[in-house]
Parts: sequence; C-alpha cells; structure tokens
Amino acid sequence: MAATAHLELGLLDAGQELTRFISGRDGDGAVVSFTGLARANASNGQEVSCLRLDWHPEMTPRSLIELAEAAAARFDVSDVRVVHRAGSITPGEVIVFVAAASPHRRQAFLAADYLMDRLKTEAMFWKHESGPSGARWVEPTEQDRADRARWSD
Amino acid sequence: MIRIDVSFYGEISDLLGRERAMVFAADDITVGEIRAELARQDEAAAVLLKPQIRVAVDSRVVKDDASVKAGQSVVFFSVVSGG
Repeated sequence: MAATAHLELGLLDAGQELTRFISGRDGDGAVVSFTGLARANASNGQEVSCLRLDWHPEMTPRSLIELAEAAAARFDVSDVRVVHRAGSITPGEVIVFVAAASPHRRQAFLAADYLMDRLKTEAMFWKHESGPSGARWVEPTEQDRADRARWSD
Repeated sequence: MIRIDVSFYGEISDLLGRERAMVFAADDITVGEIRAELARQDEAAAVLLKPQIRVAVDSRVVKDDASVKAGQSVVFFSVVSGG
C-alpha cells in the first residue's frame, strides 16, 4: 500500500497524472480516478470569475498526505494519489485529481470516494471566491459535511 | 525577552494581514496570551477571540494553553474550506 500527495501551484494536467498512475501496474485490476474542476458558479449561485486557494507551506501539504494515507490504510488498495492545486484558479481548470489502484474495482471506488469526501472538508485550504457580485471566503457546504459524515472516522 | 512570528490564514488575513512579529518580555508565553495581547494591541484582532479561530505552533494545531518559546512560529487560522 502506498500513498502520495502533491500540492500543485501551476496547472494540473489530469490526463498526464492518470497516464502516469496507470502505468506499470501488473498486480492491479482497477484504477479509479476523480478529477475536480473549478466551477463558474458558487454554491450560492453567484458567478465566480476567480477562485483562490490560500494555503500554508507546511500544514497544507501535510493534510493532503495524511488524508491520502488514511484512504490507503482504510481500503484494500495498493496505491492512492492526490494532486491538489493551490493559488489562483480560473473556472474550468482542474483543481484536484485523485486516483486509487486496487486488485479489484470496489475498493478503488470506495477509496477515491472516501478521499474526496475528506478532502472537501478537511484539506487545509482557505477558499476565496470573487466575481461580479463581490468576493467572499467559503466554508464547506452542508452537503460537503453530510458527505463526510457518511464515513465513520 | 522573546520574539515570535505570528501569521494569519483565511478570512482573518483580510483583517490582520499575513504576518507580524511580536516581542514579549517573558521567556515563554501561551497561545492564549498571544491571542489576548494581539486583541489588546489591535481592535481588528478581537476576531481572534472567537472560538472558531484555531491556532498552530510550528505547524501543529494546539490549544490555548500550549506554550510558545522563542523562535517558534504561531499560525492563527479561520475555518478551513477543504479543497
């Protein structure tokens, strides 16, 4: 079981990440990946022209690897990877890439689902949205918290 | 006398900026005392007294009774948004 995490300050090429993650896996029968995109509309419906993810140089990368390791430990997977953007992000750009590899698909699906639910509430970012109607700091939504609560820890 | 670098992340950074250096007469001090001193010095820093504003010393999240020594970094941060 392995887990890796990377905080990306430039653009994130999900296709390249997936190609790299898939290669050389003779022992695995499944890779499940998730790619998250920055939306042009906030959860309150307002238009977003720029998203900024504030991050701490030590705590933020550590939160990513700790969550990836938790997913790898919880499920029967051979490898988990998370790559997360930080800084300024334009709508339509990739903001997060998650992948899990396993001998069988079910555990890989579960690991990716679990990891995303935890990242959405616990990754150490501070999200700031700005657009024509103003700017605001964002906290996890009720749906994000409900998704996180589906898992027992 | 000790010098401690304090930084702010999330919404509170709009009010307080990113970093400030603080000097205290004592050899060590608690996180709670730093909170109180900031609030005394700067009206805007009263936001730090809200319980949802958490704090880390040398990048480890701690409670207000945690001790801080010279050279350590203190980070106050608003509720994290997740990714």
